[in-house]
Amino acid sequence: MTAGQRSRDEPQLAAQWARVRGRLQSEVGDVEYRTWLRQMSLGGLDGDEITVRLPTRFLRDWVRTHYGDRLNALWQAENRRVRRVDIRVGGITPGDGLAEPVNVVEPVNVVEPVSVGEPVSVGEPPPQSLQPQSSSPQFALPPPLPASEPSPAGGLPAPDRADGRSENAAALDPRFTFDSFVVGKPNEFAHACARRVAANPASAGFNPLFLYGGVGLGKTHLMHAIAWDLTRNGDASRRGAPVSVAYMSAEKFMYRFIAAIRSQSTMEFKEQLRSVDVLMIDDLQFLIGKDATQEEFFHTFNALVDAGKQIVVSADKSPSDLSGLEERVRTRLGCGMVADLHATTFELRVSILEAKSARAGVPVLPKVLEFLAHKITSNVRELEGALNRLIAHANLFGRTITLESTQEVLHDILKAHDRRVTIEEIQRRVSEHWNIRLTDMSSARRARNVARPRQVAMYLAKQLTSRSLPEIGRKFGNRDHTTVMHAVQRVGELMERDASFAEDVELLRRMLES
Amino acid sequence: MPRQLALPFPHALHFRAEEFLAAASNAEALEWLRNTGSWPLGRLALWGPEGCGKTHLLHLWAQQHGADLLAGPLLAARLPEGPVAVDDADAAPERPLLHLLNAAGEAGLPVLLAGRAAPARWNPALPDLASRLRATTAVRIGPAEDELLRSLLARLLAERQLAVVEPLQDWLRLRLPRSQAAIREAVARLDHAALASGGRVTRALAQAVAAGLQGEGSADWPEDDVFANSGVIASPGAGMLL
Repeated sequence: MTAGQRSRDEPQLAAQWARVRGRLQSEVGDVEYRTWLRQMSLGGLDGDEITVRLPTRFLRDWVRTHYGDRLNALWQAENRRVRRVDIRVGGITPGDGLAEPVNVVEPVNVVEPVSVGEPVSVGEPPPQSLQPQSSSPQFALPPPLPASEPSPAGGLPAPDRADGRSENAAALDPRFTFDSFVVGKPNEFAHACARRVAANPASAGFNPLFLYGGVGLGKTHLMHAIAWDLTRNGDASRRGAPVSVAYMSAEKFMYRFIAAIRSQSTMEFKEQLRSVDVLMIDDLQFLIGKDATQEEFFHTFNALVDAGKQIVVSADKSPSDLSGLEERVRTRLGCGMVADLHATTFELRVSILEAKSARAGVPVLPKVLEFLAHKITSNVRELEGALNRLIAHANLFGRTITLESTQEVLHDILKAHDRRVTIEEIQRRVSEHWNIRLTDMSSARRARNVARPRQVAMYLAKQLTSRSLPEIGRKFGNRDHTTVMHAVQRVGELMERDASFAEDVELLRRMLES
Repeated sequence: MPRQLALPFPHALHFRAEEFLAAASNAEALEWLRNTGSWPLGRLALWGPEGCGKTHLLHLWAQQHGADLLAGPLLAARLPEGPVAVDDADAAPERPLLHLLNAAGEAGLPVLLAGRAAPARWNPALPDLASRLRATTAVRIGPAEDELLRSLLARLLAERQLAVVEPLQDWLRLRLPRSQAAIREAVARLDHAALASGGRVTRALAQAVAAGLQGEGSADWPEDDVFANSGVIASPGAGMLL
């Protein structure tokens, strides 16, 4: 073939290839197509032979064995020149990086264990994320992201992002605003306090604001919401005067303090912390047992409060219950406003799920939301995590969210533990289900009312355990593995033909697995 | 004079993309790994029994995204500098794992975890970690299909340059527990036995290996730690590679 002919043929070939794939997809169904065939790419036409490529040897073999004939027939129907389809390894579907053949095993970057974070230079202003109105650029927050932008955790970051992003710029989750905080009885007081501090920082009686509650009830959400509100709107009580906010987790406070000691820049560290208008420390309980860091925190705390600056602290317990913190620190923490977040109620959980699915723009059936609110009572993080998983799964696999798919996708958190099913259990359940004697599982009787349940039990033993077929056979009265194979095949066939039988088998499987 | 030690896995372990055996049992995991952007909160956990390909997938993902691949048991507190994959994360010390999740979340960096059970079952003592793990999207790698076990056996034998005719492969596979771990262990033993006897893999040799494994399997094995007590298998996981 000449080069000119080849280039003239290409668009035509591409169109034919698209039709071949389309036909194949409609023949085999979406799931099968996605699993095995989606990564096919067109090599080219050479004489009467067309080349189709797959990224791995395994896929090539699989496609050759299972779909080779169909590919041949479909191609021949599309293009009379094609006599043969050659299926080979190679060729990468764009955006399908995982299937990319990698010929060299690159040495993987192994990180040496170190006890603390890398030294962080606290003296340098961050390269980005300066807030022009901030009086203390070192602690300025990154500019708020537009609402339409996905969360930073969602996308793959540019390679230099971690380095480019300043250590000083506290990372605030753009989703954690007051607008997205669902208020209910258990959290309305804490929410009101947070609103108050955001509108009027360092007002009497609210300094410090101490938020506490169990994990995943919204402490961090409220902290971030205060910080966003203040950086966006400034101090409303002073006609929107700019406010510099430093938000960090207690662990980060500790890392940075230690780094400052190492680099002999503790003075700068102190000065920077003491120059902010609002200092927010999340998860203070992580300072327990870190005496030097606690000491530093205490001095910073006093200096800021004395200068009329706002402090917001969160922890998992009330100040008086934070045993392990020094008494004087606990006393100081408790002298402002202490607000707790209680465990959620069913109604609040449903409201949270409704709000979240509406924000995600994915309609979820009320019965699914109620099911989640009923099943996942521990905390909001897990509740939202479950809904996130459902939505991401539905988007990725193009499935609608039903009660059944919910139970399937979330089975690891909905069930207390995964059962390891034994052959004996299978035999017992199946015998009970069809009301036959357990001994008949291993008896020589061949009457159908006994033989059929026995076959089902063998089928389930193959599906639900990793025993070899000869071993399964032995458990059924020393039968041969070919008997087990026959049973598996027979039950599979019957399930396809007889819907009520299939339902019986599925029911048994679910019972055994739950 | 120091004695030469006979290491259980003398051959190199391959974690190339083309060596990965794609199958229905791992199709869902592959789909998630191809779509890092769709991970809720930028976190994903793969779980499944020993030998099901978690480490392999972690390597592929780490290579593709320039991620640090860390061994869970050796995890230490540090700030992540890029995407992170943690193998055997269920054996990671709790505070470093918690801080890694927090710091990566703040920096918008994806984290991929792998363990034998779903993270909701890791039961850490730290409640903050427990709730983060329970909120993590967990993807199971299902039990291997017959076809996958067939390919795996063929590949492992080829890797060790053991010539075993296909009917004997089928014969052997039929008599082994149907898990990747069992196949790996059988090939390791077969290799060892063939080396010791200085000959080919015969039916008698295969029979001895299968019988040995069946013997161990006569009790009710938990699927995951089939060979926990045999002391022979070297996990092809992080311990050796990292």
